[in-house]
Amino acid sequence: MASRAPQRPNNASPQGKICQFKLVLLGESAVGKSSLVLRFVKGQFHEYQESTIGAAFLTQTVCLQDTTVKFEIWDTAGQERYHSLAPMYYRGAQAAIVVYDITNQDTFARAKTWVKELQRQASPNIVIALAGNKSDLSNKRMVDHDEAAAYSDENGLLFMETSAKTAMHVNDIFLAIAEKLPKNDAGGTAANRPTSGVDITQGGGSNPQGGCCGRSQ
Amino acid sequence: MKTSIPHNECGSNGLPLTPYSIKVLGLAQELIALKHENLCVYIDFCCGKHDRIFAVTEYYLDSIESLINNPPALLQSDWNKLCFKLTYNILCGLKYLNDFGIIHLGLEPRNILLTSNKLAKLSNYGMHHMTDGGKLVLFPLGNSKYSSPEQIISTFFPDVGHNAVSSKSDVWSVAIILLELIHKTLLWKDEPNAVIIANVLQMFKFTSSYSVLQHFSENFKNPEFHISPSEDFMGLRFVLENSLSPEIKHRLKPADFINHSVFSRFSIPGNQANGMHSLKSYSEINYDADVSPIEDLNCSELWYLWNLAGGDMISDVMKSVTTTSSITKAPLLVSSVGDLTGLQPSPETLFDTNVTLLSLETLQKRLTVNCDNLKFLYPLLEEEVGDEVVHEASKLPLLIRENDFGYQVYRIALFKRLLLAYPYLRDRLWKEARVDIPPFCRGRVWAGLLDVMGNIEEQYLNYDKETPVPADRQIAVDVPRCHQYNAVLSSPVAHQKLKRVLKAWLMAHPNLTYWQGLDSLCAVFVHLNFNDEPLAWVSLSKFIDKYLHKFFLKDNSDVIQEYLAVFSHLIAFHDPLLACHLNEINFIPDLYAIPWFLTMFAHVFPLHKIVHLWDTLLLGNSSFPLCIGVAILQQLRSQLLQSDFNECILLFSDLPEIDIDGVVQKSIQIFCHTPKSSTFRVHARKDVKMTRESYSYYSEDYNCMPKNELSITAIPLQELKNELCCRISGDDLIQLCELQGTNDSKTPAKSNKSAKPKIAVIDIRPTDEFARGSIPSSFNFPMRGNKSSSNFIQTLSQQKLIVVVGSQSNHEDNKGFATELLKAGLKGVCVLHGGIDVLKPTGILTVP
Repeated sequence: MASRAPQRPNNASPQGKICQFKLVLLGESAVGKSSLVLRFVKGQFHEYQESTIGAAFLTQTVCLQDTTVKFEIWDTAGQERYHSLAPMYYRGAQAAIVVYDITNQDTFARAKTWVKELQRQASPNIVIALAGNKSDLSNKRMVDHDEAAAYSDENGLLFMETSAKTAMHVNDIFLAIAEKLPKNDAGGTAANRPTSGVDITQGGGSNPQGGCCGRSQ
Repeated sequence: MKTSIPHNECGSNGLPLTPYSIKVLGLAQELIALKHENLCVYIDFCCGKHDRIFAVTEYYLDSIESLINNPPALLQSDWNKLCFKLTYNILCGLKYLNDFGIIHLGLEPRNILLTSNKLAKLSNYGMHHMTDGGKLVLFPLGNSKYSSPEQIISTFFPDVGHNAVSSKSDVWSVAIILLELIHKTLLWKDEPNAVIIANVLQMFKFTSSYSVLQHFSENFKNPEFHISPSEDFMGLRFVLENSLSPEIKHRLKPADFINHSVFSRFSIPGNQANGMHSLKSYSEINYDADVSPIEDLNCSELWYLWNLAGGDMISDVMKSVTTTSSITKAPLLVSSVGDLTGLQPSPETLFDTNVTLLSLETLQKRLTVNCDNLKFLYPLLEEEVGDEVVHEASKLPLLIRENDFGYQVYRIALFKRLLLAYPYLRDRLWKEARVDIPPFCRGRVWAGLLDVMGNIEEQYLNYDKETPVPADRQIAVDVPRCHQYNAVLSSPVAHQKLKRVLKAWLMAHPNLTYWQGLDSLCAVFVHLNFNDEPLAWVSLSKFIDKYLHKFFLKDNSDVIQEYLAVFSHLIAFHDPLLACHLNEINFIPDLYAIPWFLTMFAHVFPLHKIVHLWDTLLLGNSSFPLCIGVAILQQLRSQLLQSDFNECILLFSDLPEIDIDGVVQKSIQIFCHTPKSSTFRVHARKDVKMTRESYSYYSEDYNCMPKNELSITAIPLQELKNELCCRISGDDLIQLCELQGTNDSKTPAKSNKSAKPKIAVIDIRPTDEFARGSIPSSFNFPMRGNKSSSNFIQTLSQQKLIVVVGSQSNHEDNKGFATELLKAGLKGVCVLHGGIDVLKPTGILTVP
């Protein structure tokens, strides 16, 4: 299925190490999570990207100097009601992109709560990136760039303003995550991870139901 | 008719602006719903190349213009009488439009058409409405000559007086037309437009309608205003005086006129001639007489069939339209920022008032009654015709049938009658729907299958669709991206409709909430019943009640978990190999099937596939969708079997093309081979009042059937999820094995010898227990100390259903044994719910 993912232009030596990482996208609905993934994976953009129900899964490979990084991307549903599904996807993820819409202040607030939840409940070494999407609409901007950048600094997040529509910073944010991910410890290499799926184990975690769809919050 | 609409590339929100043509198309859909005897119906709107919109309407050759130009020889008093009647007709049409918040603003003699009985029918009345008051088109609306002064101002100086136009502006036009009628001449016939506009604007200098009237009369070449103080004349005078005031407040509205005493003699309801004659049956028809079924068809049916018969309206129209060569459309100057100068206005960007007549000749020819097609054109309902009426096309593939003219004529005629007879002939409707559903009647047929009844308009009206609710934001972001590839659904009007229907549904179900996905479900019904929101709403409600019971609860986790667990069991039952593979790679339905079932596939497939899927889904019970899910997996089977987890999930994130017809056929097969009790769900709808007799074994719901001690009982969710195999209830087993007499009321309607599945009942209890009493023709295979040999597996592989029976206390063993059979690749494995113990009281156990 690797043929699905077009090779990145910065193709490096194929002999290099191959790392596999699970990445999850979180954020309020209609901020452009699916669009970011679609742009990154297929280089496409749909004006009327349909809403995501449950979650979608895509993979993409990027090449750094000596390593090939394969992202397994879980693109989640944005509606608050689907919240209880999210732990199933971010548990065990090595990276997360929390997306907000720069033209909507509420989505930024929602992004902050996602960051908090990840810091509390996801694996401690998770690399979190904050993406202010729809940067092509800067004339309707409601979230200040510097404010988001300062917040990211405080919380140790990668931060970029992206535009799935114009492709601005879309590859960059994924590349930045790939750079930051540890490439030598056990968690990253494909060989050490026989199952690459989601964590569906019941109980044990902080979210006992971990099942699907909504529990009243 | 055509009109061309500018098409902007991008709006301020970054998304492409909805093309104006799409906006117009959406608004225009609302016009199709208007029906009044003084209006020519709009039948359809099509969007052609270059955003041209074509309107298909009812049309008559005569108009008021032709009446003015060629007045019949009538006594003056009769002429006045006719003028007065026509005025009343026009005002009635206008009032009806006003009731829907529509104003005409384009009245002129040539678009007021006349039937052979001299009944006036307004046409082209939708321009103002569908262009959003002219904002969506480049050309000015209306004919200046008949425009009121305020209309001229709002057209040419929109900043000054945009809101000045109202229904009273139409009244002005009526008066001008009336003046022309009275004088039997057209006013300002050869004047250039500028002069006319100046003339109209002059009216502002007058203060009363009387002086305006005076002024106009002088403008006519033969200012003979026949003074014959008849009743009609007084009426005409009244209309003119109350409509020609330059000041709007001194004019009456169309409704005011109609309610006025001068028109009182018209207000007696006219003779409704076309009541009963549509129900003809063959005995009344004389074969040789000149009966044409065309007369029984309404305009939308005609139009539908006209297209099926190969009509191509757009090319017919374009034949009569001369296009400007592109060189003449080039601008003289293009600035570096892209401004164009010196662009000649081309006729293509303007409104084309020409009417192209669509010929009904082909239709007439193909609908000629003869002995062969009579029974198809006038199908009989009451006689038990049974299988006699079989159309020659009925064995062809569905897509061909849907495009077969003769077949659709028959199906439409049949369903039209069945719907008229609904709910009396509901059984017949079900029966025919099983054959196929003609696309033309689909919306109403679905409603019938969903048992829609009662005064739904009123119910719908009573729900508040405006007050903001918390779900609004979510609805607002979801609706504009729901099935947007469809032109009608992408129009703003469709978005509003979707929102209203969703909000009404939320209001009607206070215990349920909006989940993403509900929009996709709703879109199917709104698209199908675009001009009938109440029907879309009630169909949606009924559909959710039946198939998605409790799915939209705020906390739906248990409901969905149970549904998916049953789904897993079904996969194992029908495709053990696939089930084992998916389990092995941990590819659980939670990861891919939630959007399937939460939206009944409406989020997964495009509309044209959904309708065919649902045509069948609606005929099944609430467990049928599970079978569709299994059928989809089966279609992707070979790919799935070769794939690891990542490849599987990728496959579903980007679902390949699915052959829906194949899925439908397969799902029916799966459904028929699934014991009903195996799909038992605690959360399925139970409290259904049996308002109707069940139509067959297949449409019945296990959950709705009367329960006894042999039935499936609730299984704790955790247990259900941990089981690989499904369970079968005692009563189902008895029924399927025909262990008892057939006087049972639940005997399947279609159960006959050939349909009886091959069943193997395996009793895994120790031999001594088995010897004390067991199910007839079951065989003993003691669990302990026995390893299932490949020989044993081989003998079972021919069976359609393998029921593992043990004692209730050893359920773990029973499960384990069944799982082993499953892993060996045996299909149809299930465990008797409650073990052998449930059958003990029935007295069917025998000593082998």
